[in-house]
Amino acid sequence: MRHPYWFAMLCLSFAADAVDRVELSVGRIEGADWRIESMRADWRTDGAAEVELGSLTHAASPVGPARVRLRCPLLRSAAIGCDGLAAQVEVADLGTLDAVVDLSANASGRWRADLRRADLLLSYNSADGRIAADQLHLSLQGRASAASATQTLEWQLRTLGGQAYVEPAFFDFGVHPLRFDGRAIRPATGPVRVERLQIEQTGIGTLTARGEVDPAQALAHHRVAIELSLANAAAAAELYLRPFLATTPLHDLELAGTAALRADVRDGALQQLHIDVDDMTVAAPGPAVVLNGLNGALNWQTQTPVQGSVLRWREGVVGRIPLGAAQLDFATAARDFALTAPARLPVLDGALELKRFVLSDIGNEQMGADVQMQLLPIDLPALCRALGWPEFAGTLAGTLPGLRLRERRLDIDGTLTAAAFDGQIEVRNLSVIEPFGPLPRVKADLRLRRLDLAAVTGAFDFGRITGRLDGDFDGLRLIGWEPVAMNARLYSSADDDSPRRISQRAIDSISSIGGGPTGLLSRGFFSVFDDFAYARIGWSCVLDNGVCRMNGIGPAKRRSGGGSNGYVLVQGRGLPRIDVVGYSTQVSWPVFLAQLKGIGKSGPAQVSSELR
Amino acid sequence: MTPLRTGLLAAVLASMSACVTINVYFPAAAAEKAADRIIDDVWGSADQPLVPGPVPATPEPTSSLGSALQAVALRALDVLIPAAQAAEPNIDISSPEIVRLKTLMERRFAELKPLMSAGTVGLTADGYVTVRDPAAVPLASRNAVRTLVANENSDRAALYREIATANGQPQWEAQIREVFASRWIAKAQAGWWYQDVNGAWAQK
Repeated sequence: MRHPYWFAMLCLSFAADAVDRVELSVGRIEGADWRIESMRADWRTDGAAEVELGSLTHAASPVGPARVRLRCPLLRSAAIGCDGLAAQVEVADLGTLDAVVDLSANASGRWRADLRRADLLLSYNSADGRIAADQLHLSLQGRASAASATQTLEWQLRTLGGQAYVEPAFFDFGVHPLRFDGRAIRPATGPVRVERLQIEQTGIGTLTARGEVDPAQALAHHRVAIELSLANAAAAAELYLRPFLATTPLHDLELAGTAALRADVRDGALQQLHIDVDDMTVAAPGPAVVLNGLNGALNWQTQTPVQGSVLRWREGVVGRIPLGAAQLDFATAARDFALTAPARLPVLDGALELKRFVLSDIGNEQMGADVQMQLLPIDLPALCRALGWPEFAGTLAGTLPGLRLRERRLDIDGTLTAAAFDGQIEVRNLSVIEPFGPLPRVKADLRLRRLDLAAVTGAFDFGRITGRLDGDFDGLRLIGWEPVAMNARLYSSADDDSPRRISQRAIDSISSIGGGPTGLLSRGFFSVFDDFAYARIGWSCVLDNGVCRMNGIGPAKRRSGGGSNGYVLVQGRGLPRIDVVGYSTQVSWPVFLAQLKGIGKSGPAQVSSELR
Repeated sequence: MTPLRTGLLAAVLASMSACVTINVYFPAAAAEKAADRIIDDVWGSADQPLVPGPVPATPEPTSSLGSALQAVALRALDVLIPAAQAAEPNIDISSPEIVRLKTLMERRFAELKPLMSAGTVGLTADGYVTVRDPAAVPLASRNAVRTLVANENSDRAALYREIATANGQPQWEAQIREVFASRWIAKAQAGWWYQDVNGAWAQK
C-alpha cells in the first residue's frame, strides 16, 4: 500500500429520504507487490453485508489468484461482530475454502472468532514436485480469542479423504484418516505455549506433543516434548520408515509389533530419546537379517552416554544361519554405541562372543569401530546344511581381535580358522570395501593346510582322490560372493606320506572341468584299474578380469608328435603311469565355473589323459 | 640447515612427480568409444551383436585334455577381448566392478525407460538423470521414481569412479563423467529429454 493507484468507480444508490443500501465497486487496487481486481462491497440497512474480491494476486505467492467472497447475514455495530459470517475462498492451483465463522470484538481489545466449520479441498503441486496434494479434503473447527493481551487458539482438524506427498512420505487419507487437534496460548510476552498437540492416524498410532515455541522463529527456537505410541509398527514402517530408507540397503525393512517413543527436541535438534519395544519383529531382506521377539529399551541423548539400554531377542536369522536368543546391554550417545557387557550370540551349536563392540560416528564418513569378538566352534555339517552346501565334517572357529572401519573400508584383524576335512582352513586379512555402497567387495587371503582329499572329494561328487592337499589363495577378491580376482595355488602337501591314489572318475572330472574329452580310461586296457597312484597334484590360477591364467606343477615333457608345451596337473607314479596334462594357459573364468558346476550332473565319464 | 634443504628437495621432487601425474594424456577418443560400448550394453542397441551364451563343451573324442581346454579358452577369449580393445591408447572397461555396475544399470533400465520415453525423467548435462516433470508422477509412486533416479545416479557415480580407477588414473573421474554426459545424450532415443549446459530442457 505504499504507492496505491486507484482506478475506482463509486456507485451509490440513494433512496429519496434515507440510505437504504450502499454498494461500492472498485475496478482495481494495486500495491507494490499485490493487486485486487473487481472488488465489490455491499451493505444494506437490514444489516446484511457482503464483500467480494474478483481476483487477489500477490507477486510472491506460488499459487494463482484468489477469489474471495465474505457474506454476513447481520453486521452488528454495538459490539462489533458478525454471527454466521460465510467465507468462500477459491485459489487457483490450490483449492477451495468454505467456512462459517462467528466474530465479535469490542473496543477494549477483546475479540473472539469461532470457526463453526471449514471445509478445505486442496489439490496442489509444488514446482519441484516434493510437496503435493491430490483432492485432499480437510474439515476444520476451532476457536481463537484474545483477552488482556493473551491469545488462545484451539483447533480440531480431520482428514476426510484424498492423498498427499511430502517427500519422501506418501499419505493416503482414504485408507489411514488423520486427526490433528491442539491448543496453544500466546501471552503478551514470551514464547507461545503449546499446551496440547495430538496427531492420531487410524491403524498406525498417536503422537502427542507439548512445549514452547518462539513465535518469531518457530523453526529455530523451540522446546518440545514428544510422545509417540505405535499400535501397528508394520504400517508405520511401510508409510514412514521405508520411504526414508529407500536408497539404502535397508530399503525393504519390515517391522511388526508395538513400540513407544519419547523424545525431547530443542531448536530443531533431538536432545533425548527413549524407545520401548515390545515383542517386535524386525526383518531386513536386503542384508537378510531377521530378529523375532525383540524386546527392550533404548536410551539416547546428545552428550554423555546413557547406561541401561538393553535389547533382547528370542531368535533370529542372519543370511541363512539361525541365531539363538541373546541380549545386548549397551550405552549410546550422539553417534556412538558401546556394549556395556560382553554378549553371547548363539549360532547353531556354537556362539559368537562379542567381548568389545564400540562404534563411533555412526553414519558419518569417518565412522569408526573397535570390536573384539570370538567365534566359539560351530559344527560344520550343520552350517553346511543351513547354507545349502554339500555337507562335510569339521568345525569353524576363530578370534577376531579387531575391526576397523575407515575410509569406506572395513578391515578385520585376526584369523578365522576352520578345522575341516581333517585339515585347516584359515581366512586372513579379511576386509570389506564400501560395505554400505552400491558395490560392496570382499577381500581376503585363504590358506588350506593338509586337507584330507578323500574327505574333500567325498563331499563333492567328483570321484575319489586320496592324499593331502595344501592351498594358498592370495588377494582373493569377491563381488557378490563370486571371486573376481585371486592368485590361487592348490598342491599336494609336502610332508605327507599317506597313500596317494586317484580314481578314473576323478581323472574324468579334472578333464571335464576343462571341457576336455573323457572316457578314454574306461575303455580298453585301463578299464581294469579302478584307480592309479600319483606322485603330486598341482594347479594354479591367476584370476584377473574374467580370465584365469592356469598352470600346474611344472612343464610337461614335449610330446613325440611335437605340439605346444603343456603343464602337468597330476603327475603319475608307478605303473601304469598316468599324467594329466593341461595345455590352456588362458581360460575364461565363467566357462570354467560352469564346467565345475556341471561335474556329477553330466552323464558317464569320458576320459582325458596323457598316456606315457 | 640440512633438514630444511632436504625438506625443500623433497617438496620440489614431490611437486615434480605430481606434475607428471597431472599431465597424463587423457585419451578422449578411446573414452568415447568405451562410453559408447557401456551405453549400448545398458540401453541395448539394435546394431549390437547378440551376446554369446556360455560356450558349450564339445569334446572331440580323440583329442587330449589340453587341446580341448585350449579350444574352449580361445573361443571364450574371443568373446572377452573384442578386436577393438587391442587398439592403443585404450580405456579398459572390463574390470569386474565395471561389469557388475553395468549389469545393475541394465536391469534398472527396464523401469527407467518408460519414464524417459514419457519425459518424466531426463538426462542431465553432467552425466546423471533427474526427474524432469515431477507433477506427471502419481503421488503414490513419486517416491519410487525418486529412489529409482537416486539409485541410478549412485551407480553412475560409482561407474565413472571405477573406470578411472581401473585405468590407474583416479584423477580422470571428472573427465570420464564429462565424456559419458555427452555420449548418453548423443545416444538418447528420439523423444527423450536432456538438459543443455545452461540447464534448459530439450527433446531429442
